Amino acid sequence: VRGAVEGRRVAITGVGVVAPCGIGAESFWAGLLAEPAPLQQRRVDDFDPAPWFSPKQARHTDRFTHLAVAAAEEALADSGRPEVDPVRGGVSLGTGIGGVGTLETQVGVLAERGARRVSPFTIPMVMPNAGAAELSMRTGWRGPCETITTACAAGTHSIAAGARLVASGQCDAVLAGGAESSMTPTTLAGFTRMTALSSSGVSRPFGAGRDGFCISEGAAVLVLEELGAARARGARVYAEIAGGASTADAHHITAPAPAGRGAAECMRTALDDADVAPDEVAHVNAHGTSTPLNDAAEAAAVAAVLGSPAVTSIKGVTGHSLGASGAVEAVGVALSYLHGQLPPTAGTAELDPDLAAIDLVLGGPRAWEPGVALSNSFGFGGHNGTLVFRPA
Amino acid sequence: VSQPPPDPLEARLVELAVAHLDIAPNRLRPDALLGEDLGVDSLAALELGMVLEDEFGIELPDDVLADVLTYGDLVAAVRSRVRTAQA
Repeated sequence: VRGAVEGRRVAITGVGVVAPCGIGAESFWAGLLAEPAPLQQRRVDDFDPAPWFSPKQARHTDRFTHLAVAAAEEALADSGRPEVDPVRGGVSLGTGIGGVGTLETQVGVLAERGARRVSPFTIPMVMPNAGAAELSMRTGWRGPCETITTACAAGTHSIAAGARLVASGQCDAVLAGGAESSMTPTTLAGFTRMTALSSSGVSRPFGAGRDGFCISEGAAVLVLEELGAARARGARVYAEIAGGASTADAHHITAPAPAGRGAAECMRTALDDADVAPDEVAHVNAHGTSTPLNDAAEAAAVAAVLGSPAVTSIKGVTGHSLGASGAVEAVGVALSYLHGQLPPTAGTAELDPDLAAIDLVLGGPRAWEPGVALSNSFGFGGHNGTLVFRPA
Repeated sequence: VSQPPPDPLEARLVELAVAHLDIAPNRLRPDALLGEDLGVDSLAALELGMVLEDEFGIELPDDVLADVLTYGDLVAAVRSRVRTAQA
């Protein structure tokens, strides 16, 4: 990581995840290896905030915050809970749209019953930083506590920002990730009107006939610590975050820059940040949304920038959880290191022959000898994010 | 010691407060401070006020709520408003 204080490296010591295919890392991983049911809208159906929120607390926080807390609590428990000077503990939790579900409910209250019936909790529930704030209150960590909202790149950008807090010496531990629960009637209509959603309900990343993304919700959080300190306290280290990048297309509010220019530039910048050569990259956990334009641009960029890494998109299973997706996929990468396996690109039978040739993991999990891995995220607005992972 | 049976208004108020504030009924004593003793912050008090307005068909303007410090004050404010509304 550029700007790192000499010798400081960033370790992933805990993971937590809530996704439609599984709550908790173990069932999430099993879900990634199973065949998903075709479904345009993928919700975390069996999620109950009760283990972490009293009924009153649950009423006063949006669902995206519930998901974030569940993921963060799992990650902290998984890490063995590092002891941190509170002012050197940080939170970096991204989201695409924050508490839009609460906003939509209250818009209805306003229309039907008037302004005096709008909940006084509306603003603190809706604000995108509510999830991050909740995590700081629960941990008592009083260092930087921030929220990046770069649409579908928010989770990846938040982890990169969290890694920088550790590398720069500002923090000794950071909760970093993303959370999203924004499948309201209005947002669904908005995505539908822009023809972004799959009408078949099959998420088919990089496949022929892919027809859009399957929208989902979820949250994922990593515990990031300084590598040496993590080892000294005997923590399990999944992998190192060796670098990251954030770039902009400066092109169009929703369409990616031609020929994957933005994605390519972002991956190159990230490799430079990590001081890694392109042909060292063994694996790419792709953004791979299953939209025609994204996957074409990303395949072109991977083929142009890297050697021949094994590429997978877990969105065939998870669907696209927008601002959470980069974090959900970072957990997928961490678990790939743990299991020595790459999950397949479910939903896709074969690579679309019209795309640049990439080595897509298809059919079933592929064994791998852990090496350098990238994880990409690209968001509306032309926001690009890449994380670089290295075996620790 | 036998306690006088609570009147219907107060019984309903206890039910609503218990449901909305996560508070055991025996803590709802007249001198209990909403903030310090019952953990009701200003937003939760406003929300409870909204619930009580709907339930009893009254108005609890913000300046009335601002003077409500204890649970007893709350009962009194609601009772007075209900009387006014019925008058």
